[in-house]
Amino acid sequence: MKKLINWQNAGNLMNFKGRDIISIRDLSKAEILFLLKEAEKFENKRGEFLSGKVLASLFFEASTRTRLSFESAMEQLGGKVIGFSDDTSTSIKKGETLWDTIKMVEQYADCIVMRNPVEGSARLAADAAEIPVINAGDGANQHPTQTLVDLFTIKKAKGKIDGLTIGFVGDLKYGRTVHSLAVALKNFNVKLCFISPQSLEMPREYLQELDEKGIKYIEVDKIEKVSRELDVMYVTRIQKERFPDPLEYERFKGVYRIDRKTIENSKKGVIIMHPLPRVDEIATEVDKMPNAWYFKQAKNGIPIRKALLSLVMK
Amino acid sequence: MKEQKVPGIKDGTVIDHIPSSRTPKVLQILDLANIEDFVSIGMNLSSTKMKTKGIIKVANRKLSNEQLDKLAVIAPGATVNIIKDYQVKEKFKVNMKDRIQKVLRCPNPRCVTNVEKVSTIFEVQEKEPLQVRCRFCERAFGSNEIIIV
Repeated sequence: MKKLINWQNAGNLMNFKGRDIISIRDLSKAEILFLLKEAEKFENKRGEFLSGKVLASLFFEASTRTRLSFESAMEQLGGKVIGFSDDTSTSIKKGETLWDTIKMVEQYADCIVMRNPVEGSARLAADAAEIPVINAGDGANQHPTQTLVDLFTIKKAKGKIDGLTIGFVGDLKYGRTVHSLAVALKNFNVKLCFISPQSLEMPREYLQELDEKGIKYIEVDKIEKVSRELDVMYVTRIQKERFPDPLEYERFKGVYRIDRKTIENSKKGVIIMHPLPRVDEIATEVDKMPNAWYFKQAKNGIPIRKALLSLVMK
Repeated sequence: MKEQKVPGIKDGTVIDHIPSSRTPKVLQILDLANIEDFVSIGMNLSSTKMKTKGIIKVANRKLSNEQLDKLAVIAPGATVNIIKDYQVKEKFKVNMKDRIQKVLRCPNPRCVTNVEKVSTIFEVQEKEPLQVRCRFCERAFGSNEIIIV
């Protein structure tokens, strides 16, 4: 029987064999740093580490980056992938419960990676399965491997996480990646800046968690107010449909757009991150600047996922 | 002799120190309103500990573990007296556990516990005022949002 772990009893368990990766809350600071170190080892490494192992890639909802990077990571480690990329052909459509689907799939695989739009479904899948389950996004709740990719990117770019000032820009109300990263960063000695229109500000419950940990943060409505302080700018997409008034959207979309001028007026060496896909919140002229880290961030999905797959299965 | 404002019972359970205004809620949640045994209810009774309090006396019944868990959520300071032959045989304070199972429904409609057939589990983060976090969707809820099944 595998050990059930959640944020209440997260400890310094460096033995990840058989372990589920469901929420960033399940990981202690020591464990996060250990995973980042392991990922570094896997950056340019390929081989038969998981030869003979099978990954079930269950995507009940479409995804490009996450699914492809998991599948590519598994292939690079010598393992095989089975699964589906949307739920049109699954038995769930015939009324099968998620519990039963997982109980069936685990007979065919050594590890499950799952994306499902229902919040908490990854935890339920982990309860059902004896084999490790990795959450690749459960609705608006968690996407822990993306958060590890973000932390890995920050550490690679800046050489550290402690001591940095990190700004989040755009839709902070609905942005799952922002919520997860903020929860992870409460383990570190960082200063956070939340830059958003009032209608899309960071939800209170996350700020309360930061307060409990004594993390310093400020909330502002314009990038210029803090851009000279920021070591990292984590930009998110502002979706038009979030605004009841389309005029309000038109007004805000320019305010939170990062271009060459924004970077020239910011702290030297600031890195720009984005979970992608972007629409027009970062001008393409930024892509060639050394500050642009969003495509490297996407690339970092591979070493993080290789480290996780190899640790939970080996 | 102490004046008895709520008639006594020979055998059964007395739930004491209920916040007065929550007494009807306790009756409803513990499903004591539709039973055939004798039930007496007192509200706005004076109390040295809590100014006013509510009392519920139920004849011939003991509360189940599930009922005690529910009671701990709606009336965390309540005491339970087991009565036998007009005497208090056992007295204890309800105890809120660190983990509440089955008793609450997750208020988040997108939570898997409202989609699949699965028992809820909430981790208690604060006891007073009550704050819990759903083990599945990880949303935190205060006492004004929680739904008792």
